Amino acid sequence: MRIKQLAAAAPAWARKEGPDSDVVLWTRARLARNLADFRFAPRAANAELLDIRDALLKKLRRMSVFAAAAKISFAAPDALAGRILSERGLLDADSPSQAAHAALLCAPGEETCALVNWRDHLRLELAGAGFCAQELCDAAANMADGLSGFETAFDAQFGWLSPAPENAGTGLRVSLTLHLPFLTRSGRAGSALKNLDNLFVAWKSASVGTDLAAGGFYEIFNASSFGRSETETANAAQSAARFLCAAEREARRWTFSGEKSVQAADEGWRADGTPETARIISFEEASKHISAALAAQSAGVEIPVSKSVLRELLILARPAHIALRCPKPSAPPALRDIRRAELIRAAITSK
Amino acid sequence: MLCRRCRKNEAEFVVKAAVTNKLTRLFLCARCLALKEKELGLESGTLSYYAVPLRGADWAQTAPAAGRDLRLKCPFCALAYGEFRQTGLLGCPHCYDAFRPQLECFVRRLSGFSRHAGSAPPDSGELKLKAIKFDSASLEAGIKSAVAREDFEKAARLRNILKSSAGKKRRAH
Repeated sequence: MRIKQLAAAAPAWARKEGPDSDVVLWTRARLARNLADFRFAPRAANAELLDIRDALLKKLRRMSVFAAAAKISFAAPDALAGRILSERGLLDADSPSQAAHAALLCAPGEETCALVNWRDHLRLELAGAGFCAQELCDAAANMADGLSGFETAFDAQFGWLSPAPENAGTGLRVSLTLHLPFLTRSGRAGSALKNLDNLFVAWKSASVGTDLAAGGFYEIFNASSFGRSETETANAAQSAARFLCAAEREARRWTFSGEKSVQAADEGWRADGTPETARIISFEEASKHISAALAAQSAGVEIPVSKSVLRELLILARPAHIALRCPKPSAPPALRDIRRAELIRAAITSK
Repeated sequence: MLCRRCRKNEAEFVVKAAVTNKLTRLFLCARCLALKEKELGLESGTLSYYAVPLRGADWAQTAPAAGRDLRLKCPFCALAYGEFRQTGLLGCPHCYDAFRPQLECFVRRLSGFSRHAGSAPPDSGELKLKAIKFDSASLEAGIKSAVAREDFEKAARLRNILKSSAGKKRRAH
């Protein structure tokens, strides 16, 4: 499989609905593990990286979840591939480039993936629609237990070791992508995010250089995986999600209880109409329209486009994904905006 | 690294803000972050920025290190502590042993904790020392370093690994 094929469709978790998915679009859990017998990936020699990749892929392939998984190999660092994976939530926005001989295993639907030699020797990446932190943490832990036969780098004081010490400890990172349009509109998103448990920090959910926060999309995640157990991390995610869901629903109720309800519904209708006719559209503008349409739908306003299509577009209309649809990945922004408009029109009119 | 605003306290956060379509980075202490947030529109709720605790290379560079610390080297992968402060990345699992006091200070500053809590492998104990991929010169250097630090228990473990790997090589020939 090639990265272009991967980027052609949105992951299954982006289309589905899950618990609290009117606010929590999707949940991700990443579990990092490194092998005790090797240098960490950023400093390992090519021969070592090859040994690690082959051994880990062989082991992973024996797991039932990866039996039919697609594999993408990266012989050398690939910046565009890194951006694509970042936009699909598989890497941090400030993600490092991978070492040589990296690989990605994607189970069908992309709900379970494994990254090999991408800073850590192994990163298990799990994703689900709505809020499902506990389920993903449990599944990741079970998969890590299935790595018997490998001696993973562990230290009683520092926990599961990683080349970046801030990722030592449990090696677990839980992140939630949130849609808070009504809190943002009421000017209370900032203070709500600042009130979260200290374990979780607010993060603007955006590709570098774009402003997704304008559409009310945020990502929160645990700042450190050190000193708190996996259960504590999942519990903190749950309390953060509960708090933000309650605050957003309250703001939504307030907006639709008075005269503003007509204005809010109108924004939703306009958001559906503009992209259907637009011939040039930037990602920022697209994300604002998607946000307005999703917000109106969450309040019960009937919009002809389904939620799953809107969520899909939130991934497929991102800059690196659009770059792959251009004749050259280095296509100028104006051409990318034309391609984005074509993609959105096709998605809206076909479904 | 000192806070870029007050130039008195250590920087603890990096604030990333989009200003005229360019991403700017500002290193601030907690007190100055609170002041800066008002300027950047936290109160208005627009959140055109985000602040995260320092991580990676940014974070590693804030650690004060005496000259002798900078010259410390991991006996296995030869990573110098000074290099770690530049990149924020360690070279191998044994670096955690080689730079233990410095890293303990680092993680405590970041997370407020100095010890791991959570899952562990069934036979967890100290850092596992296996040397399949390390050559005998690295192991000998590790033994010397452990003896110099009077960590005789570790020196003995390394010597056993060296002996067993030498035995394996002889059998292979």
